Amino acid sequence: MTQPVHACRLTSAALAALILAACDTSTIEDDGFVIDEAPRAVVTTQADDFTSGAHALVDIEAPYTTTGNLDAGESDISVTTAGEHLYKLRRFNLDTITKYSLDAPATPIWQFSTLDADDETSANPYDLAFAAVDKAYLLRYGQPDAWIVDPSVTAEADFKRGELDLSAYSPNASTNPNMTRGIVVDGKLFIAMQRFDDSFTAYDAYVAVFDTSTDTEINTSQDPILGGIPLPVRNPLTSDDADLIYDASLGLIYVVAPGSSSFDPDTFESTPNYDGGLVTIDPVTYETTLLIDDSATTGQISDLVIINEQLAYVISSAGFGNNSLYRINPRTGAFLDTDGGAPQPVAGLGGTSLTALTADIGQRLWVGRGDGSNPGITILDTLDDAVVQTLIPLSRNPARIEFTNQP
Amino acid sequence: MQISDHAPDDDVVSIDTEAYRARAIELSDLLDQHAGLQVRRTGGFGSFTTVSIRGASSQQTSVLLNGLPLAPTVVGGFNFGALSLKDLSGVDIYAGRAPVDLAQGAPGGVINLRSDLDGDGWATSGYASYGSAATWQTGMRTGLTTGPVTHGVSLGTAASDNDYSFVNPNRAFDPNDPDRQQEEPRRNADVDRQQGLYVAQWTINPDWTLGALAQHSRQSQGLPDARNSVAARTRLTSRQTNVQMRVGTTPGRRREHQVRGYWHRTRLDYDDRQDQLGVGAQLTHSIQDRWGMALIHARPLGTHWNWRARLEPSRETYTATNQVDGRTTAGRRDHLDIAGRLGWRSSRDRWRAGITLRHQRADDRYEAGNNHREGSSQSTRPQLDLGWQATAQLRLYAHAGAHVRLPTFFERYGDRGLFIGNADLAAEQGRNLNLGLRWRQAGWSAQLEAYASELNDAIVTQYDVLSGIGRAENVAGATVRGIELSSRWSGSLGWLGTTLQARAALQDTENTTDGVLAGKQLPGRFSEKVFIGTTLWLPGRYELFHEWIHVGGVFYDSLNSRPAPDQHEHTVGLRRPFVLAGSTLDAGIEIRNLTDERAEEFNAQPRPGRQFFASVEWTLHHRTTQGSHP
Repeated sequence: MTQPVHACRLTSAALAALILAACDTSTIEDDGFVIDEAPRAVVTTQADDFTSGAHALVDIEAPYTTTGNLDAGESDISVTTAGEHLYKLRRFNLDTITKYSLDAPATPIWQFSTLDADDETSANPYDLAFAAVDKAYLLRYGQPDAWIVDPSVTAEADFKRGELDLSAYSPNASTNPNMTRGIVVDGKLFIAMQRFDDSFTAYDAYVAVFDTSTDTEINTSQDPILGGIPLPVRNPLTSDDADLIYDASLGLIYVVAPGSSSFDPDTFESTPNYDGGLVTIDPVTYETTLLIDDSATTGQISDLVIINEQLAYVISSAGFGNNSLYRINPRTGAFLDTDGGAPQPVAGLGGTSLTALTADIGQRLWVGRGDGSNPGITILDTLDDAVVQTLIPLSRNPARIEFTNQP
Repeated sequence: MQISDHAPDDDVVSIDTEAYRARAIELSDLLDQHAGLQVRRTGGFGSFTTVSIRGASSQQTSVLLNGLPLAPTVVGGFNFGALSLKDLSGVDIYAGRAPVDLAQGAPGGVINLRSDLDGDGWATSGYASYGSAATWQTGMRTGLTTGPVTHGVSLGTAASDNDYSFVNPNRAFDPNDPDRQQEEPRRNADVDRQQGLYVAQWTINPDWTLGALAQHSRQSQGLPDARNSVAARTRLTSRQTNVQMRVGTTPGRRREHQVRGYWHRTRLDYDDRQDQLGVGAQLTHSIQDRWGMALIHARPLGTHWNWRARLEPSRETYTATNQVDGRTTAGRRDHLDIAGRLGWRSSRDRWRAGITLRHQRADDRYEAGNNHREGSSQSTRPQLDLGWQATAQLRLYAHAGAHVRLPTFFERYGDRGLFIGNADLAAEQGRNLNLGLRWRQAGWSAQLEAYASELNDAIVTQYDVLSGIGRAENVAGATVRGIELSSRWSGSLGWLGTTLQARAALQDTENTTDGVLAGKQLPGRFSEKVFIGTTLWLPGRYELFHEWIHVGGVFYDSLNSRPAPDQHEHTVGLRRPFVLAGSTLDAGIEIRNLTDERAEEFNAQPRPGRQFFASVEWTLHHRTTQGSHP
C-alpha cells in the first residue's frame, strides 16, 4: 500500500462522478482499501475545552453536507479510515480502538482494548498503520511495544497477532520510545518515535524500520548503536493531523517536527528550542535530509501536505493558537512566498488557529480552523490559493482530516 | 463567644451536624442533601470531592472555616473529601452572596464550616462505625471547663479500602471474560485519615472573650487510574493545619470589636513516579500557607441604623518541588479585603435592609528559579440585602450583589508541560440576585428561593489543537436561573412520629458564549435535584429513616454531547438511643445506595454500589469540672 499522490485536479461538482475513473488511480494499489463510492472527509473533532470529541463525515463537494457529532465521547481521540471502515483510537487512559462502517459511522462494529493485561500505564494508542486489510500495526505511545493486529476480525481474541519490540529506543529504563506515527512503504514499516524522558525532555527522535513480511527490524546502518534512523530533529509528529507522508514521485518520506520547548524563566512561558523542522527520509537508503531547519523566522513546523513535486503546504506555529499556512517547495524546502527573506503566509491564513491540513483528490486544500465559537474547515484552491469554501462549520475543532478512498 | 461567631443572618441555610449521630455519613454526603449544592466525587469514602453552589464552579465557591479562609486561592481544587464531619459542629451555606463578616465573596457563594464549642462545652463522647469496603471511623471528643476557660478536644481516625466492586469496561482483554461482565474490585483507592482538633474559649471578663482553635488532619489516599490497574501506585497525602485565635467583645454588646488571627497550611505530597495518571512522572511536595488577621467592628448608628465593617490583610504563599526534575516553583499572593455594611431596620424590626461594599485587592508574585513575575488586581463590588417580616410566620427577602473570582497562580503563570499560564488573565465577574420567602410555624417550615446569576469573563481552559497545549482564557459567559424549595414538617401520622424533609432545585445553566456553545448547559451542573428525607419515630425509641437523592440533567462536556447518567440513590437506616447509667449510646445501621446504582460523577470514576454500615456513638451525660469564676 502506498500513499496516493498526483491525482488530477477536479472541480467540486465533478468529484463524485469522476473519482474512481478519471484520476490516476493506478498509483493506488487496489488491495481492498478502494471502495466504490465518492470520497468523504473523515474529521476527528475535539471540543475547544477538551471535554468532548467525536468524528464527522463531510462530503467533498458543495454543499459539503456534514454528518457530525458521531459517537461523541471523550476528546482524546484520533479517527483514521481504511477501505469502508473507520477506526477510532481512544488514547490516554481510554485505551481502546473502535471500528465503524462508513455506512453506519456512529455504530461501533466492535471496540477492543489496546492494553495488555500486564500494562502498568496507559497504552495510549496513537496510530494504526495498515499493511493489508487484515494486517495493521497499532502504535502504542505509552508502551514500548507496538501490536501487530488484524482489524478484519470480529472477535477480540483474534485481534492481536504479535508485537514489535521498540524498547531499545526508550531514552531511559523508566520511559518508553513514544511511538507516534507509522507508514508502510514498499513492504517496510517506518515507525517514528518522539522519545521523551520522565520530565518531558525530548531526546533525539528515531524512525525504526521493520520488514512487514517477517516483522523483524531492519538495521538501517544509520546509527552505531540502534538499528533505526536518527532524525536531525526532535519531537516529530505531535499534531493529531501530522502523519509520516510518503510521496511516490519524489520517492521520499516526509517528517514534520515542531521540536521541543523549554520553560523560559525570563518570560515564564514555554519557548521553542528550534530543534525541529522538516525532514525527508529515503526509504531505500534511509538517508535523511533536513529540508527546513526551524527558527524564529519559520516558526515550529507542525503539519504538511504535498500537492505535487513543486508545491507543498506547511502549518507553522509561532505560539498558542498563532499558526500560519505557508507554501513551500517539497524538493528544497524553500518557502515560495517571502518578503525580505521572511516567509509570508497564504493570505488570510496567518496568525490564526489552524488545526489540520489535508488535500483532497481534487488537490484542494482542506484547512482546519480552531475556534471555540465557530470551528470548521476552510477549502482553498491550490492553483491560486483562492478560497473555495470559507467555512464548513463543525461543532468542535477539527483535529485531523482524512479522506476515504485514499489509502 | 464561639470561635466562629458572626452577625446573625436570617437567610442562611445552616446544617447542624449533631443530628447525624451514629451515622456513617461524610461531609460530602451531608452537603449533597441540599438541593442547591452540586457535589461531585471521584469514588468512595475520602475520595476527591468538589462542592459548588447553584451553577457556579467549585472554584467560584469560597470555603471557610469559622469565617476564615480555608481553601487556598493560589492553586484551586479544594478537596472536601479530606475533611472529617466529626470535627464540625455545623455548616452555613450562603448561596450567591456573602455576609459582611465573611469578607471574601465569590460568584457562587460561601460554604462556612463551623467547629463551635457548645455553650457549656463538649460532653465526653466516642463514636465508631464499620461497613462495606472495610470502611471504618472511630474517635472521641471531650470537653472541660476550668474556671473561665472551656476546652474541647476531638481526636479521630478513619480508613477505607474502597475496594468496592464494579464492572470495568476499560480493562485489558481477558479470554475468560471476553465481554467484561465480571466485576472487579476498585484498586488503589484506599484512604486513611487522622484528625485532631482543640478549641477553647475564655471569658476574660463579662465584656471580652477569647477563642482559640488548633486543628490538624492528615489523609493519605491511593489514586486509581482509569484502567483500574493492578499495578496502580499513585498516591496523594495531604496534611492540613489550622490555627485560629479570636479576641472580641461578648455577643450582645452594643459595640462589637473583634480581632481574629489565623494560619492555615496545606501540605500535599503527590507521588506518581510511574506516570500512571499522566502529565509526566511527578514526585511533588507542595506547601500552601495562608496567614492573616481580621478586624471587625460593629456599632449602632442611632436607633435604626447600624454599621459593620471588616478589614482583613492576609498573605498566601506556595512552594512546590518536583523531585523528579528538581524544579521548584513558588509564589505569594497578598490580599487586602475590606468590607463594610450599612444596615437599617424599622422600628418594629419588620424591615431590614443593608448595603455592603467590598474591596478586594491581590498582589501576586510568582517565582521560578531566580526570576519572578508580578501582577496585581483589585475590585470593588456592592451587595444589597432587603428583608421584610410580613407576618410572624412569613418573611420575604432579597439579595443582590456582585463578586469576583481571582485566577489561580497556575491559570496565570503555570507551566506544567501540557498546560501553560496566561499572565493577562482577568478575574471572573459574577452578579447574583436571590428572591426568597420563608414560612415558619410550629412543626412546619418552608423556604422558596428564586435565583439568577450572570457570569462574565469566565475562565475556561482552552487547548491549541496543533500542539495539544492548554491555556486558561477569559472567554466564556453564562447565565444561571433557578428555583429552590425546601420544606420540613414534623408531626405524627397516627401513632408514628414523623419528620419529612423535602428539598428540590430546578436550574438552567445556560452558556452565553457565542457560537457552538450558545445555549448549552454548563458541564457538570445538574438541571434538577431532589432530596427527600423521611424519618419515622417508632415505638421503643427506634428511628427509621429513608433518604432519596435524585440528580439529573448533568453533562460531562460543554457541548452537551456526553450526558451523565441520572442518579437515584436511596439510603435506609435504623437508629436507637440506649440510655445507660450516666450516659447514652446511640446505635444505628444503614444501607447506602440501597438499589445498587452505579453512578459516575466524574467520567470513568465509579462510585460505590450498595454499602452497609453499623455505627455507635456513646455520650457521657454532661458533666464538667467547674472551676471557680474569678
